Amino acid sequence: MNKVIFKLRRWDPDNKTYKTAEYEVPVRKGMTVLDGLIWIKENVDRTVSYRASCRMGLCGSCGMVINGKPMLACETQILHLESQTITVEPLYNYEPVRDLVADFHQFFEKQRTVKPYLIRDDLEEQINPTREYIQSPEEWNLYIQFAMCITCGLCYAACPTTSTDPRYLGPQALMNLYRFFADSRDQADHLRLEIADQADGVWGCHLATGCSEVCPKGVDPALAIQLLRKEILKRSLKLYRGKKISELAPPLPPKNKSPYRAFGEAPEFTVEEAQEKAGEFNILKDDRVR
Amino acid sequence: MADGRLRLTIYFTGGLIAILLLIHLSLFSFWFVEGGYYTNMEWENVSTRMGSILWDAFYIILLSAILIHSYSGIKGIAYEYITSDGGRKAIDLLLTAIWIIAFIYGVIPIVSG
Repeated sequence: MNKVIFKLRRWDPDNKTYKTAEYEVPVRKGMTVLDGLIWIKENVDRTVSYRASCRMGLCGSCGMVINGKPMLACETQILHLESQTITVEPLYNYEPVRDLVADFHQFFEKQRTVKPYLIRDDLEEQINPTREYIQSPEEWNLYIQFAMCITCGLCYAACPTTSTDPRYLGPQALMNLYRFFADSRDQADHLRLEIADQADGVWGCHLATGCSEVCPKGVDPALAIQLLRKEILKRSLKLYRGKKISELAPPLPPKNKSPYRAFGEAPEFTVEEAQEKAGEFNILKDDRVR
Repeated sequence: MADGRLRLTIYFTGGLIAILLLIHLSLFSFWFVEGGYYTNMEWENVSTRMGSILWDAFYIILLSAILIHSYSGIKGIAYEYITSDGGRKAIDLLLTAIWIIAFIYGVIPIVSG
């Protein structure tokens, strides 16, 4: 059985320093870096901390810098790295919490600022849905690539602007903003472009495209940022024609009037109750469709 | 759309500078342009241009385009390094002051000629 050296760059929160620890790990075919870390924790050093969950590249929890490149530990096979020494570090551009665990607080704060949810003025329909919104395959294609994001945060770790400008919204947030901007069901395009059109928004991007390079899901945040820039410039030049907003599908036959309530006892809210509920989560507070 | 307009200004003034500089260089540096470098630099020709309102306007437009372009560009670079609101306001004020001084400094020889 082959053996490789795992060099872990571990953050010590008590002394506020990094220290490097080396572990010899036996490797078999198909073993991932995450498997290696689990082996270390189970057999050598129980104090090693890392974040992981699904082990199949879906949850986006195990983002780490492996041999200098941000990757998902669960998707990276040790033998594919073709190296006898594997260096594992916590993600760049994040505050470390402990060992290989990075603090995602800022990441999700920035994501929250772009309002990553559909905003429409037919609040009544959203609260007590009766029908579905019509969306053509062409309209779906405009944003579906960007809906594949698993919020693993690798793009932030690869972004040179994020490393120098802490106020920069970053590739994931801007890509997410475009995902909802391009969605034909969304009506808040003016509000979204206002958020993007800032020195720390789309204009902060230097198009290094590191974000697109490292994305494990093949999402292209750099493309989203360029498309947002294009939209902003088009509107500045008054070349914009207006977005087609999805409308509700025709009513169903009376037998299945509400497709949602047909599956069970969905609670029915009044608009006031729903607004009160949304207020608890700070949603809809500033979301006025303009 | 404030930053979008700033970007458009950078693109527009960049294009304008390229065109106006080409005209300027073709007069002063390119020997193959009609009249040639030496003829265009003769005092008589220079003084004729300095006395023309059209040439004055040409150079004021070129000067303004360069100053606006550099103002926007330097502002963009400075904003990446200084991220506090106060610091950014200070940059805006400083650059505006430099812009005004540089514009006056550049316009005086153009119009006084």
